[in-house]
Amino acid sequence: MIEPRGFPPAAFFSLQIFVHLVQMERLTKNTLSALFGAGIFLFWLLAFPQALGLQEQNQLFLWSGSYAAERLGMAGGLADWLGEFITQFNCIPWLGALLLALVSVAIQRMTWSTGDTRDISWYPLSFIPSALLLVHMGDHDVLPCLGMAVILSLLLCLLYKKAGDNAAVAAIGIPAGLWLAGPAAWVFVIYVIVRKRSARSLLWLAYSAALVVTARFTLLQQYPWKQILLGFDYFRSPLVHPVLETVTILSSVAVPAIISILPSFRKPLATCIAVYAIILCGTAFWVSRSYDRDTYEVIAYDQLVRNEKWDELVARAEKYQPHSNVSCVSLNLALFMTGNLERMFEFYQCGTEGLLMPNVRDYLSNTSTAEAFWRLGMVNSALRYSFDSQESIGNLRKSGRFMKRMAECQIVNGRYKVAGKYLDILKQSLFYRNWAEEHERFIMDETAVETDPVYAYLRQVRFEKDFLYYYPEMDKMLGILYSQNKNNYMAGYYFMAWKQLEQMEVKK
Amino acid sequence: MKKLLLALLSAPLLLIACSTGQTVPEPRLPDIYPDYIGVTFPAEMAPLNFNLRGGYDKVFVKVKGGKGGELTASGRYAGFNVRKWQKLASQNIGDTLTFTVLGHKDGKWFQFVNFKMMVSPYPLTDYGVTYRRFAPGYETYSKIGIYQRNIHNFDEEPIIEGNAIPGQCVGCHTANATDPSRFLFHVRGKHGATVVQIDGDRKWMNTKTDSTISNAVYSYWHPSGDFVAHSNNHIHQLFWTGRNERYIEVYDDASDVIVHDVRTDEYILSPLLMTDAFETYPAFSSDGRTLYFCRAPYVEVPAHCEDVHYDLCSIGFDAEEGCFGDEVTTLIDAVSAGKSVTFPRPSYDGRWLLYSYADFGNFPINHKESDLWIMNLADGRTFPAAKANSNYDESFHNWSSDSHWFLFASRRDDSLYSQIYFSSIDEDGNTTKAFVLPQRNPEEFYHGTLFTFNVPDFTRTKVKFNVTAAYREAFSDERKNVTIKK
Repeated sequence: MIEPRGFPPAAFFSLQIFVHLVQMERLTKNTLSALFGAGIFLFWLLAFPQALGLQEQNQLFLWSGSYAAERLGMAGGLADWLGEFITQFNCIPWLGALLLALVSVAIQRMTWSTGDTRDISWYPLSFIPSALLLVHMGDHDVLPCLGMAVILSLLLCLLYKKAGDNAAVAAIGIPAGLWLAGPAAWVFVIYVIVRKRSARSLLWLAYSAALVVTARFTLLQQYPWKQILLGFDYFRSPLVHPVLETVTILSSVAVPAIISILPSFRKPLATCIAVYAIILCGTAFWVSRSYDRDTYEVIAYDQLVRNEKWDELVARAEKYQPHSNVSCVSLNLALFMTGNLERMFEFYQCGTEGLLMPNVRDYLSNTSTAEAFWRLGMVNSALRYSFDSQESIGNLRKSGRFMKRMAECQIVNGRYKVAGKYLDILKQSLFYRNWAEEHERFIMDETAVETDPVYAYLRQVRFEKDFLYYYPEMDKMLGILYSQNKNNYMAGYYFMAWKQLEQMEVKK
Repeated sequence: MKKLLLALLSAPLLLIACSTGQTVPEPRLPDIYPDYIGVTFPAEMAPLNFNLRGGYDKVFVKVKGGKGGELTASGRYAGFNVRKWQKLASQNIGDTLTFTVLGHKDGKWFQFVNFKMMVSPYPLTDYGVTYRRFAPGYETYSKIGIYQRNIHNFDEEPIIEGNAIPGQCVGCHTANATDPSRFLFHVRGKHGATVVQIDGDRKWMNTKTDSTISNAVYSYWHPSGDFVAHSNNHIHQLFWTGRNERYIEVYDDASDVIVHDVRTDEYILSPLLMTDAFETYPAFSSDGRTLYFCRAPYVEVPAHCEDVHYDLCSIGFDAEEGCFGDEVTTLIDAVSAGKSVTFPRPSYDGRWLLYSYADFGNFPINHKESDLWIMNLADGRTFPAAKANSNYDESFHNWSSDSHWFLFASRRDDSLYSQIYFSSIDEDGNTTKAFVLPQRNPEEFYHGTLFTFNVPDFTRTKVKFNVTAAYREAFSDERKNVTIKK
């Protein structure tokens, strides 16, 4: 046996134990993080894949310099850009889920790394920010930008720590962070102040405040203080800032500080596992409360309509159906598409609005009705509902899904220049590029449109005479569609369904 | 710097190509975007940059002035240096610029037939234009704002964006004859108001009274700056279902015209302007003694909205007494012609009146057939602004401060997204081929944007507006009520 020179056997033995312990701790930490990541991955992939689809359809990430420049020209722009970047991959659900899992694990690992404590006992506390984020994302208007902003802010904290609390890093990092990550970068400001722990360190607070005030009166004149202080794109509605958003952000800097003052235990590994279990249970409980079942069922129905999985939708409704007009529209469309519209009264119905909804100014309610209009041959109405859905996206983003349909409507209507405009924009995206390129052949080519089975059919069944749409007389509009073209079975079925639902309303 | 290098590199290459006979003549005019061939522009305008269509990867352009001077541009698109362009244009006022365009494709240079642009003898010294920018939607608006653009370069900046007062819609910025020291705009929504700014002081007005049917809608300043004419409209919109390239119909089921004395915040009413007929789109003459407006006989809408036709009418206005005349005169009988006249805009020199002429209704931007027409105010003769019009709608026009230029919104580019066009008028009423507001890279800008540019107007100087204060004022809900003049 060869022993290292200069090391007495006892010392060598101690070193081996130390190395073993370190390796054990590292293994434990890696395992816990990996388990957490795997859990998040499965959560999104199996439990709430519809949330991935909804996030994706409410943005249109473009691979262009001008798109990136537009994002980076705004406070919090890099976080926003990165959030949209990962969200585009939700088109492939397992990839979208994997990226969200990686974001969660990255936040957790960075939260742990920003602290100085090496005691593994409290390692599970570093999962709190990611767990809070998961709970917070139960509100489908929470944007992935929030997670990216926290990562960017923690990255600055790590850089500062690695640089030995170098003031130059703080001086550059604070403005960079506030601009690139948005108000989440206050985490970095707090981190710098906490690490310095001196009255002079409060100067960093004054420095940061001065930067924000300067930005407010120069680059951000068009934005109210509330947004400047609480964030632009962490939540889809610009002026809504849930408390949990701020709590999530602040937890990423509070947790390491708390860990540093907590006592050590004799059995760190056991403590670690116990705390981990408590945090997992707490997260599971809170998640179960924050993800509203009906809301996510409505979203799931809509995603099934989007992907034309009609049988799956009907099967899902047979198990559980939320009582909302939006879900009724989706279900009734699926019933018709599967040849089962006569079964409609086996399910919850809420009157005529559950067949075709009046226009609602939000990005979810109109979508299934727009799909029904499209198939009925009410092309202009499908266009209007799609356009208004896109314009209703709270953070003013565009939508690949809606823009596709708008382009198709314009192709059917022969407004090829507008259709071409939409196709050229879609060509700049990753997941709509092929579709857009394939559909370019219809531009200015009447023959191509007239020989396409879908577009030619829609041209045949759409209204022959022009008149003004009037929702209260939907039955008449459906009647006209059917009477002018008896091949439009859908209009006929929908007309009868409308009448039946109308009677149901009268009885009520 | 990049452009300069490209130009320096391209020029000798071009010479070599030409000398070795590698330039292939292309016996046709180049397909450029925007269509600037044969347009007339003012020397002060930003360069009329253009793109060469047809799959060319590079373009080289040489511009030669009729009175002298040369300029070149090359690259992915023809982008000219602002200073050099304006210098060349100034050298050639009243003359032409000749453009030699070469496009590079498949390793060869193709030379097109030369074309010309005319440098107008009429200067355009106004600072720029203001407009509303938003997605041309139906019932929902997302990003919306009023912007100003310096027409001598490419700088655009917001006056107020929807972000500044979230949840509210901003629209219809109206200055006093291009002078932004007096302007107003309407804010719609929960915290709605009519914002009147005079010499930097703002008033947030509640313009609805018990005696009027709605808030102020379409407005026009009296040349004195002491009055504003408003229309009060019950506006509705419905949507066409068919295939006639029309989607939206905006109509009123009631409308009146009133005048607002901004010194006392009193409304001056006249029964002649508040009848059962639809009165709308008021505009004062340049001397302030006449109020033009449009009037349609009452028709049941929306059932018969295609039968709503507006005449152009006028009534006297006495600014000293603050009262109307007692007679309404019909200047254009569009009802008999089965047409509709809307949006009268008299020139500030008192010579012309520009208006929209469509088949029916009062919202020409949604009417493909809508054209611009001109009335000679001296003799009442009317004629189309032929060279400015297109097969698509032209609307929301207005005059430059010297009244030799007018701008308007047109959907001619793609039938949906409006752009701002400029045309000039000479002493005899001849208009020139309109050109679209120049952009640095026009194709990328116009084809890539999902915004429509609407309600444009000239602004003599830069508009100054305190957005921060506006946010506070909007959400304070402190509004000054308008009263009725006894």
